[in-house]
Amino acid sequence: MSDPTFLTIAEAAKLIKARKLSPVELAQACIAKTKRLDNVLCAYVELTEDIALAAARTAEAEIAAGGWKGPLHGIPIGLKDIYDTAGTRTTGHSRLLATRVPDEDATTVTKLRQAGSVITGKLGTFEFAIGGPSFDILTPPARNPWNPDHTTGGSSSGSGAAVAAGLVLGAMGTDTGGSIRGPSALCGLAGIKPTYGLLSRKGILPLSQSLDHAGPMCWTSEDCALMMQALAGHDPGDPASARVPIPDYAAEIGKPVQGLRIGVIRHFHETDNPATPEVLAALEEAIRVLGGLGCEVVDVTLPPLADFAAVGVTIMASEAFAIHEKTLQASPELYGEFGRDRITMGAFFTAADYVAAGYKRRELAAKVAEVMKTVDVLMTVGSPFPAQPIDAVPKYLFFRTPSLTMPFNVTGLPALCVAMGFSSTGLPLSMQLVGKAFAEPVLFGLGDAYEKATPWKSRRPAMALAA
Amino acid sequence: MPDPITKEAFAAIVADRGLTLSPERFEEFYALYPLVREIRARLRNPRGYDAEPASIFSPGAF
Amino acid sequence: MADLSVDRQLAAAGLKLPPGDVEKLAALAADLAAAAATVRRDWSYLTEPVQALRLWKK
Repeated sequence: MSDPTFLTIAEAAKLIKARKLSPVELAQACIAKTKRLDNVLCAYVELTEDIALAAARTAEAEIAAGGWKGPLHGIPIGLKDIYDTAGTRTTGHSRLLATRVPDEDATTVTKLRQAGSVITGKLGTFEFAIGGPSFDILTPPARNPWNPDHTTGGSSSGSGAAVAAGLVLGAMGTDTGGSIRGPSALCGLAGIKPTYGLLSRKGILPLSQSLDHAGPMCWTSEDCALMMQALAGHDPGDPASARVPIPDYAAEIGKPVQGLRIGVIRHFHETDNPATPEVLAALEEAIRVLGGLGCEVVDVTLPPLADFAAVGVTIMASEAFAIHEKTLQASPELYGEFGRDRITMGAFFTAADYVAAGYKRRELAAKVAEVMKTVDVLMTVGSPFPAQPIDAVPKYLFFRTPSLTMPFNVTGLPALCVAMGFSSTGLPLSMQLVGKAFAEPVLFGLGDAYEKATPWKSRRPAMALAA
Repeated sequence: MPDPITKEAFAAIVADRGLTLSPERFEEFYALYPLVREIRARLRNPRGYDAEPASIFSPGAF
Repeated sequence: MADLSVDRQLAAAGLKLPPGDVEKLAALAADLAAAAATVRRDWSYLTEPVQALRLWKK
């Protein structure tokens, strides 16, 4: 068999179920590759090799005994280091929590373990999911496998690097303003920020509770669907958890997408936060491909991107400052500069600002819901530019430039980033597909159809190919 | 838009929030404060007394 | 913690009051500061505020 670390979850699951691929050998291959590459990539805060291999041996024995649990059984999965893991450090990539060892797993981690996945360890993040890329925090920042001089984006940065390089087959990220979709876009992955409330946040270090979402990051849309199946569901431990029926997330995989109506939010990426010409050209080509698959593509208009950004930034900064107020007052020196200063911005908003953002948030959600009545999916770019050099990311980018991902944290709608080609310098480009609340299967079906109609998924980072 | 905030007034806000800033960080945040005001202004638009913020108190949901 | 004078707080909120009213409010400032302090606790990072997001009808 060729390099098993580059199998998709769907491919590996079929082989594992048929006992043609050993979970132990797969885990060993991922760990060996991590040892070969991670001194450069810095994807991990902590590789938990012994725990991973023990889980892989358990999975192998269970499957041999006829107890295959489903597509995640025996699959190596990494966790952003803000997911609590019982008995293993969860640091938020911060010196403040360098020795913190939780007693319990996050609910989503419990679900992954119950599905038989092999948890390989804790992946790098921006400090507390906001401060990065930073060299002055617990360990160095993750680097982009497509070009290690460039950032992965953040804050689920180690997750982006690890999946692209095949250190794991899937990873967990979180997304408060784009932290799943940014690294997915810049590393060439499929990554979904699900509908708010669909995945439990219990046991995940918060950045901003009313904007935080957990979600999977994988090589393909189909793999995201498979992970969602194991992860979704009501959790009484999360006060914002939705009580909704859980569908078959892979129901639309491989199905025709003919007749789907796609609304392109052209003003978002052409004028509100203009993407580079290369990204715009790739998006037009993607629109042409989707049209060729039978989708009906129309232009739509939403409120200005800056309105969504104002709401998102005010809420995120205010909630984050409330969480970190005491430690920022008492020991600001323990934070890295980016995390410390980005969170400190929240000190300058007032209570009335926070409530006004709540009013505006409801108004924006209602306006987007009106437009969503006319289409099945909204579309814009995943990132307006390919990955920047790792030392050239502005500290206050998020405050100064309206984010193309934040609108869907503000509205809570599900949003999937799908790879749509490469820049002239070989860095991934990405589109963003947005669905109606709890309509994730439509997004997975559309992303899958596009991935199968284009060659992008056949390419992997050169540094991660077998030596 | 209100008048530009004076450094003295901004220093009072910083102190009230319990923050201790180096002179360089003070200048950095002082320079950013107009951006906070721009964001703040964008959130205000006419709305009725019946408007509801997006977050609500949910008895029993904790 | 240093006090933020009442007139500065009013100015930051875009409010203007006659001097006499500012003085009356100033007398309350210490009570307000004490009230704000009472809601601060050494809670864990995983503590959730009581407000939950409700953006769509179910």
